[in-house]
Amino acid sequence: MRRFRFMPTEEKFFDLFDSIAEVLVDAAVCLQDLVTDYQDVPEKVRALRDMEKRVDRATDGICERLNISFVTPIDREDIHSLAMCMDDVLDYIEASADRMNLYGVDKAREEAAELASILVESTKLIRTGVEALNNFRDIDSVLRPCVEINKLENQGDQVLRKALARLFKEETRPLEIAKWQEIFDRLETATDKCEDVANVLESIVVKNA
Amino acid sequence: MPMIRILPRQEAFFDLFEKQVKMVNHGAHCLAELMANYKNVEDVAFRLKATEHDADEMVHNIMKKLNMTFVTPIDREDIHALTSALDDILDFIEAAAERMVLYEIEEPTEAAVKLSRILAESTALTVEAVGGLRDPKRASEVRELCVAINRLENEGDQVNRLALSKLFQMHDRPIEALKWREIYDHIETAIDKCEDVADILEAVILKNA
Repeated sequence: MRRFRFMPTEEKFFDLFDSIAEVLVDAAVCLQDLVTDYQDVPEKVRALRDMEKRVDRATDGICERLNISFVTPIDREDIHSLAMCMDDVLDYIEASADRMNLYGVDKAREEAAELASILVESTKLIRTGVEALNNFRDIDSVLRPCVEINKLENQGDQVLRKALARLFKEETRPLEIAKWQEIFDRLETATDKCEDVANVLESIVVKNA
Repeated sequence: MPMIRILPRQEAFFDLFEKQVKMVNHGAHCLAELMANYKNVEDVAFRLKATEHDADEMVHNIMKKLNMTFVTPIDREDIHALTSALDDILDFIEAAAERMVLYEIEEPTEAAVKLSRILAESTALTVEAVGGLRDPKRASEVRELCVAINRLENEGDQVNRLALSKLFQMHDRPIEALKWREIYDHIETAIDKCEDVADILEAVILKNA
């Protein structure tokens, strides 16, 4: 009856994961808003930083509970790596917005919006996957969003390539190139981190299958 | 009785790993050859893309097999981690070659030649190490290979650092410097990922000792 290991004997873990997933979606939406409507930049970046802090606190909460819980619904190391990976997603979302602000970028490049919309989709899929783990019915309901996240990561790669090609072709100011190279890299790394979350989810269900 | 866990009928996992690592090694050698002998760049990049695609398929097969297998020769999470790390190596190899095309690089630098050679050496050792995993008698040999992979990673680090310092002294061509910084970073990360594979192998051996 391994299946029952998913059932929340310690419901709070999953509730915490659900709420982190919720913040990830909010953050991606906020980033999308920033790059599609590039104004009030400092305010939007501050909002993202607040979300990042909230997730940091939630991950701390998970780690704390991990230390005092005797029985955890899934393996300790998996709970830990899921929390860390989700935290990473937000770190990169926040970092890319922060760099735009920091480097005084005056206008968001087109491909930033494309990457942001990939992040919105990916974080929504993370939310679906985490929820499916919480209300575990079958392995596929967790694996399916993971496959989609993988596809989106590939798309992110494509967008990054296009973005860099255009950047080096059209931009003549080296500093502008350097700034955007970094911002694009962070945005794309955020999609990679979503894939890492998917990998952890996958390994959790595979292990407990 | 860890020995007994390595059942002959589970050899299929090792076969898949060996196939995957050989693809990775092939990719690394293509890249090294490209840097040493800069011809047909687009062809090579295109072929590497195809190899990466095939390797993705491989990961998928391993995961599928993992889902269907009750007793695995090594722990499930290690199988998962190993296949993901191998996949990462090839991703970065492919990205490096792709950037050569994207950035219309006319001629590889000395550092690019060196770094890609270190990478190819490292993947060759990785082939050996992964190959030794199926035989518990080869544990100490695998461990030595892992140490050698670690050493190459340090070497790669050194080469990259020197190359970067040289790169940012060529004030006359800042945009070229930005291109190369990124390419070096991809190759160096591929070398890092070989080290990740080595770490996983070491952990597996330790666990089954």
